[in-house]
Amino acid sequence: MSIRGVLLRSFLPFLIRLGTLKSKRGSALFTPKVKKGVKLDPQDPKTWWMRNVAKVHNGIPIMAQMYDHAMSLAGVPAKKFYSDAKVHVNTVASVAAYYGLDSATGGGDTYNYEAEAMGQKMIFSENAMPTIDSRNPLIKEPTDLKKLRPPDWLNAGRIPFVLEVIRSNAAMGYKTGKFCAPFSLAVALRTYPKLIRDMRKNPEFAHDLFTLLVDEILPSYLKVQKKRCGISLATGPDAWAVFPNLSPELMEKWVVPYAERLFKNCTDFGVIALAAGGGGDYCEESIEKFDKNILFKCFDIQKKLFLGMPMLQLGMGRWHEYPLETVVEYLMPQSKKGMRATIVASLNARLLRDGPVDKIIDTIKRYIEVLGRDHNLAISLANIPADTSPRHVHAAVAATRTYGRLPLVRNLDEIPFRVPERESFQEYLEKMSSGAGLNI
Amino acid sequence: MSETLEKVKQAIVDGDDDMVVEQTEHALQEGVNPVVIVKQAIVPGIERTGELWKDNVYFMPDVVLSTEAFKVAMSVVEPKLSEIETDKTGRFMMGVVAGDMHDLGKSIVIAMLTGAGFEVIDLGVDVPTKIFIEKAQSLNPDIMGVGCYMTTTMLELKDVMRELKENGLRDKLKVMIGGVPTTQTFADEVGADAWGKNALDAVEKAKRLMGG
Repeated sequence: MSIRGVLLRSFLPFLIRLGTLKSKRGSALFTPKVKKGVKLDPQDPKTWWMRNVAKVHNGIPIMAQMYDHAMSLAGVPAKKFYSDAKVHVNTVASVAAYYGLDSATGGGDTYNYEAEAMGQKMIFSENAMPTIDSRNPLIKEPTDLKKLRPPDWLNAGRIPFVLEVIRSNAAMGYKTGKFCAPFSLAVALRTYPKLIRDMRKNPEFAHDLFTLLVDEILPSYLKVQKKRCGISLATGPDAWAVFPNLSPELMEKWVVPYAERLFKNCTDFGVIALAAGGGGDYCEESIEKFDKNILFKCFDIQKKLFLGMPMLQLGMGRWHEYPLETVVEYLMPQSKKGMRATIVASLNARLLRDGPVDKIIDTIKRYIEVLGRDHNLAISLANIPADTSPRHVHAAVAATRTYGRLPLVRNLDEIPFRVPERESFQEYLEKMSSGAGLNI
Repeated sequence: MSETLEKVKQAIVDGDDDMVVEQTEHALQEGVNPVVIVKQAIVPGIERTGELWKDNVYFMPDVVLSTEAFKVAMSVVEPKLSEIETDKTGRFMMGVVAGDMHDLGKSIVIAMLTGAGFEVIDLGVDVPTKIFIEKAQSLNPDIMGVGCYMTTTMLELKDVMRELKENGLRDKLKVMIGGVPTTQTFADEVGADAWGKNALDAVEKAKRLMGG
């Protein structure tokens, strides 16, 4: 254990926490630090986005996870979009600029890269995100664990693509590494049913697997990211580690301890690794089954994954909704002390795709009204479906900009609002690139 | 119900695949008719799991393990069942579209449909449109279930529906769709007969499509 590691473990979480509480626009984890005065380059969509975002002040930020949507809107073949860093980053940046989003980070199929680099078989198709071939898991039997070693992180699979994407993100102000969180990575290597069975019937093996991931595989990968991309903070999405994929009790036993162990291991070489991207989300589909106690337990887990920072990611945004008042109730003890939490409230992807526009606008307005006054709110368009109408996204962005101007007005209903009429993405592209297109 | 059948049922509810094999084989050795094992132990077991899921007592890990135990139990009795004529609710053919490898939801739906008396034909994952059409022609299912779990692969459904029409099959079967990114609106857009919101909903709607 290095002295630097001990210092990082002791002070950095505190500093991040302080930064989170002070900023009204939420943590730097979610909103990039963009350079001002960037010169517009028709050949470089990153500059289109940076110029746009530099003009946004004092507003609730709006971000999006939109890889498949950006790819479809720009008409880029999947194989190219998910393997060519320049194409990937330029496509995402151009679509983010078109919509006027506050983030434009490249990333792609974040759950697959490490597993693929270790030898996991993948399926690459013409129109869809690459996906793990779950018929052929890399760890078919517990004995296969012995064969698992950190790969050559500079050359294996699509890791060179990922490193280039992370470098490009950093150039746009988002200097954060990316990795697949331990639980989701274990699922990628073993499949969910087998891993669940291991956890119940062969816990020793399951613990060995998680230990290998957090002691060797992921730290070695993040060391390379630090060296090659200059990152000191990395976030790991964990979409499998959510309720009801796991009960809160299982998350406490199998997710939290390994996230903490990974954090400790990585501070030794100067990286803060937060295995917190979506882990602990409450994702029950049926509103009839909504359970406030389970939701609160999930929020407790999210806080642990964020090193005790008061940060909540509202998973309802993906596919469903639950009462916002329960979120306010959960945060009440700290609200009474005047502490602001950071909340990422995601817009339901089904709503975003299907509409209607009025409901999209009303939902965002309600997020802002209920959660934006006492807390640092960020709106997230969580996984915009590929064929979503751009008009729906423009409406969501415009609603956030209109109603989310800080400080919030007392009565949001008094603000006039109109859905903007915009040119098509292709027209925008023509205009911005002086007719050259995406140059991919 | 005999003690052995009770143990088979409980092993499915508990998701104990080792126990379910032992007890199902024991029941067969005791001379229990395999149809009785299915109707009185295996199906009630998976139905109980569904109830516990609905009541927020069971979560996904419990359902998955229970589904696995159900599959194992069925694999023990199926060779014996094929020797006996059994009534089926209908023939349900199911697969996940091309480019999509997600099979967790499909496995649960298949277990629930089998439990509800359907003859289920599993085409697997990453199924090209051509295979859906060929199998629809050769196997004559009453219902074709198509799953998709990504917002890009859900667009494959439009191809499947178009090919069904072009091959003159659309009026000969019912089509159900399901999967995380799908909605009733999307089901209407592509012209499906029903959308399964989750496994239990899928079973209810499949029964309705069969006139039940």
